[in-house]
Amino acid sequence: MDQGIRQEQGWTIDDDKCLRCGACVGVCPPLALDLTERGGIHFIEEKCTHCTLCEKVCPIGCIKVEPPKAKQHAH
Amino acid sequence: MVLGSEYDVVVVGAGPGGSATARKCAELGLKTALLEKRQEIGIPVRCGEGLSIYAVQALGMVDKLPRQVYAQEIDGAIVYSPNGKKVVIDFGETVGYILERKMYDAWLAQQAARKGAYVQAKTEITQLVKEQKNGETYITGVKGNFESDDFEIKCNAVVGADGVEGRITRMAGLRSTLMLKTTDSGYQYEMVDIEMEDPRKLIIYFGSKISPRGYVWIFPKGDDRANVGIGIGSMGYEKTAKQYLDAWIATQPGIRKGSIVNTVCGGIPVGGFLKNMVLNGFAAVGDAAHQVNPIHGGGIGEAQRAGYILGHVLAEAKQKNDFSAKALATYNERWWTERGNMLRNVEKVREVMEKIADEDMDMLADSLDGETIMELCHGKRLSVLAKVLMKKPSLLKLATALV
Repeated sequence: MDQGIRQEQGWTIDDDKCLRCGACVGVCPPLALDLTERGGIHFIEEKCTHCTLCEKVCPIGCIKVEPPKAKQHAH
Repeated sequence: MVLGSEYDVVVVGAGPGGSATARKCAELGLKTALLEKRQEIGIPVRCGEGLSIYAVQALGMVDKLPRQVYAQEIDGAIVYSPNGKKVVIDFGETVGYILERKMYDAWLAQQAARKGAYVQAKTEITQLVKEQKNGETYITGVKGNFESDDFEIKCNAVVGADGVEGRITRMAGLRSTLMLKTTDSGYQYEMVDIEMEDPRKLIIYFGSKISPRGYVWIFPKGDDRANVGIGIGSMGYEKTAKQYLDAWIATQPGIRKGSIVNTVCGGIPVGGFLKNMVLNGFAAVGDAAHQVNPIHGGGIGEAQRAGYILGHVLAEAKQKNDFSAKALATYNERWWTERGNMLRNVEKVREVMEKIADEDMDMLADSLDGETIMELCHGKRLSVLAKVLMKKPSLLKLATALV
């Protein structure tokens, strides 16, 4: 169980459930997601704004977006 | 059998929109490449697979569809309103097809190839090449990879036929990101060994409990085989599309007993048509340009029709050697005249449907006949719908917005 869970920074996908339909890619305003032929949905952390649109549109519910991590203490 | 390094037009994505555009461009003498990132054109299917006879006629495909590209001819529909009232729409003759999309898409791409386009699968476009010309930015090529080889192509125009994802179209600079309020979340099983009321009719179930802001469909692909699917709004309901569909199937013994032979899901653009679909050296077609009927979510015919329009515009651009956004804007004008204004009317009908309560939907099922429902799906007779809505004071505002 849960073997397919892939956790990125603040963004999680269940690769076992994902059907690679690309709906999440289509709604992602900053193009932080890409559907690649090799590795399923590719997540580009630097572009993600944690808006959760991908989570909402997913017909299966296999994406979870967490709030952005608190910034590190200033030096 | 080698991808060249210079073309008039590079079409990105070999779905119906891309193949139609490439075919028309090639027919009109343009040197055309049609590139598909998937290993096999037509797979995976992300579609309910319905195509109306009107689209088949408009596309000149009457009597031309090879038998293997469709599973079933359709002569009408059975629509259930939320309270279970049944409206039967029977044309007594074939008014549509349930396709085998993987065969259909392959057939369209083959046609493009036979007309002279160079078609290549497993070819991914990763970057657009942009150049400055006369102080303006033009898209003048693409970079990508085929198997493990990188390539670059120079061209006069790139066509974004890259579907719901629309990454290339957005990288080009069109503001075509799907908005949640005009995107449905779809899920579907292709099932076999199920029972159907009438294997020549689409069966549609409405109701906010079974499918909020959408409906459940059964699209027959034979006597005991069908696409059983659901489309719901994506604005955040308690369950996912898959969970709603599973819950509904659990209540249907004749469906539940069947087997699942394919699972399909996807986002469905249902409105938010683009006023502008072109840039210097670029145009978008099909789902990438949200060219879908917002009531039934059908986009195959729309994509192909738009592709033909775009093919002609690109051929004219070639003649004048002008691929500027200004020249390509003819595509905007023609598409809006031929399709967009009608589809915008359909979107208005949709906006009503998603705002009214189940009991209002029941009232519509009591008041509207099958023919009117079909007309509304094609953006006609909105005044009839408005008249029915006006019967109820609380719906007056929605009614006046229609006319």
